[in-house]
Parts: sequence; C-alpha cells; structure tokens
Amino acid sequence: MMPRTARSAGKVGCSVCHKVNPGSVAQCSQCGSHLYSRIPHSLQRTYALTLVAIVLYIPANLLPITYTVYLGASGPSTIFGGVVTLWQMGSVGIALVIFVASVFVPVAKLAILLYLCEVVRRQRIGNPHKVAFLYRLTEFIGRWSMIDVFVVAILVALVRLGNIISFYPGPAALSFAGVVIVTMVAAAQFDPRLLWDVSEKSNYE
Amino acid sequence: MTESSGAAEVVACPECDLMVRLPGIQEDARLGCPRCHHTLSYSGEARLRRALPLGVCAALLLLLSLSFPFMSFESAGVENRMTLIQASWALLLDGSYVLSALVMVFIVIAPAVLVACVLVVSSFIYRQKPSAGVATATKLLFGLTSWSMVEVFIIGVFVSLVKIAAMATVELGVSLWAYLGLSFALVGAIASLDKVSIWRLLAQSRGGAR
Repeated sequence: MMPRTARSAGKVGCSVCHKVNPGSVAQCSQCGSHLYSRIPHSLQRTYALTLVAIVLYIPANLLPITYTVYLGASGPSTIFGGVVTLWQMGSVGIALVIFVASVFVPVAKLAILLYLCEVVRRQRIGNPHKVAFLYRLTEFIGRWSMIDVFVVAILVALVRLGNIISFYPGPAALSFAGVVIVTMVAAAQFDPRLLWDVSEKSNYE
Repeated sequence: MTESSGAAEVVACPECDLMVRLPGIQEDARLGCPRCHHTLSYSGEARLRRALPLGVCAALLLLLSLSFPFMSFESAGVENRMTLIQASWALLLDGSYVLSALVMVFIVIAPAVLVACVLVVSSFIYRQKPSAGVATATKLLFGLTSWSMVEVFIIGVFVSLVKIAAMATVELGVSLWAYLGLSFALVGAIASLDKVSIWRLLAQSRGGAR
C-alpha cells in the first residue's frame, strides 16, 4: 500500500504550521503562508548555493583569519594554522573542537548536501531513514561552524593592547562566515519530502 | 479523512509529507511521524505554560548581559575590557563592516527579537485572546531560531579563553554568566513552545471571535 501523503491525496501540507490544505488554494487557511507541495526548484537552489559555498571555502582556508601583533612583530594565521598552533600548545581538546567545527563540519556538510541532491536527481535511494538522518544532521549542525568567527570577534575586541599584543580580523573571517551562512540557506532550501518521494517510487513501482 | 472535528487533528509531516492524525492528549507526550520519525508535536498544556517564566527569565538575562562587562584582559600592566556589544563593535573599528553587522545580528539582534517573540506568544497562551501580532510573532519565532547563536558564541568564548589564557590574565564578567544563563533560558523557552499546539490555539481563538 502506498503511504497516504498529502500530495497523493491531492492536498498540500503547510510548511509553516503543517495544516493539510486542499490542493487548489494558494494560501494556508490556518496561518496565511504561501503554499507549495514541494519547495519550488529545490534541487537547483541547493546545488547553486552549495557551489557558492565551495567557492567561498577556498579563500576561507587560504587567506589569514587573524593577524596577531605581539611585542611589535606582526604575523598572519590561517584556520588550519590556528589548529596546529593550539595542538602544539598542548590544548589538544580545543584544537579538536576547532578542527571539527571549522574544517570537518563544513566539508562534511557540503559533501552531504551534494549527496542529497544526487539521490534526488538519480531517483535512487537505499534506506530513506539513513538519508533522512543525514539531512537532519546537516540542518542541526550548520550553525555550530560559526564558532571560529566568534573566536575572531572575541579576540579582536578583547586583546587590544596596541603593540604589546593585539588581534586584527583577516579576510578569511568574512569568507568563512559566508560559507556557514550559505550552507545554512542551502540546507533550508533542500526539501526532505523529495527523499521520501524517491523512496516511494523505488519501493512501489 | 475528516478534519478538525473534536480533539483529533490531521497534519502533514513537514519532512515526509505523510498525513498523520494527532490524538488530543492532555499530558506531556512526544508525537512522532510513524514513517520518518520526525517529531511532529509535543502535547500538553503544562509544557506550553513553561514558556512564559522562561521567556521573562531570558529577557532579564539579556538586559543583564548587555549592561555589564563581558571579559577583561590584562598584560604588562595594561588592561582592556570588552562588553558583549564590543565583540561586534571592535570589528567595525578595524574595518570589517559586514562581519561586524553579521556578528551583531547573530549574538544580539536575533536573540533579542526571539525573546520578544517568546514573550508575545507565551503571554497569548495564558490569555488566549486573539491579537494581530501573535501569528507574525509565531512565524518569526520558528523562522529565526537557527540564526540566534547564543550557545555557539558561548563555546567561542571558551575556545578564546584557552587560546589566550597563557598570554595574560583574563577575568570573566557578570555579562558572560548572564549570557550563559540566557542560552539555557532561550533554548528551554523555544523547546516548550510547540508549533502545532500554538497554531491550533490561534485558530480556536479566532474561531471564537468569528
């Protein structure tokens, strides 16, 4: 038996308040939001935003995220350089937190977004529960990558003692914030209902 | 399928589109989608009523965290203090205008708007009188949640502490502890506001006025 979805019954589920509306209306009768059965151009939008994020990720890693002035001498440091420095200082735990938040999570997120789009494009899915789990993970974890941007903001505001010791923001900080924001929007533009549409096709045809 | 007669109510799962009939349970219970296990709703009046005290708490903690020093840093006899606002302001002074604005939105503006929305929605739950702003506040509340990054900023604070603890003396201010409290109060308030129940209450209150 086919699962009884709103679309198969000719209805539209509101994405804001979840009310089931008849398919013929454009606005939700309960909350007044614009109705759509699936996010329009969901795949194209997610692909495009993911590509933007990949492009932004390059300067985010190559350019310095902070400049440090210490006793008159100045030096740049990159995201990965910061992880290595923390590791050498003996703060292995914090080095791991930064590595996971700034290097591992953004890369994993981009890979998952591309994978989700590919699943829908090829219309082939293994276990929909596992793929849906990946989608939820991406939605949940996205904002935590902002840690490194906040560390820059805090260091710049707190450590301002002129030539004795000071931190200044580098260009990578903005690129990295851009990566995080764009991937958050990309994840929001992906419609998870598409995954279940694929699973219905592969199970029942 | 009959809709909205009595306690039972049909919703479409936002993650898999399955139509699910929600039972009208009175006590605290999690109602999940039978197909994709997405949490559709948390039932129970008691849970909803928790939002107002938590929201008031969050509002006070936000005011506290904006009015006291956040942290101070001392090296070679020179001291520098920062407030929460300065985390964004210092970036502006150093020429990173866009980054400064983004940080301001994530750590002050979005949390402040969220707290205001929590207060509007949770006081509606107590009074149950329809007013124009409640539906907008509800939409804003759930749309803005992931852009308020209080708890992410707190982790950022602890990472920065480890980075600079060896260089100088760092002291933590009242604002930091208030902000830590805010992260818990805000998460708690939002978690107790169940989307489906709020929209149902809004529809009922409007139906009564009709």
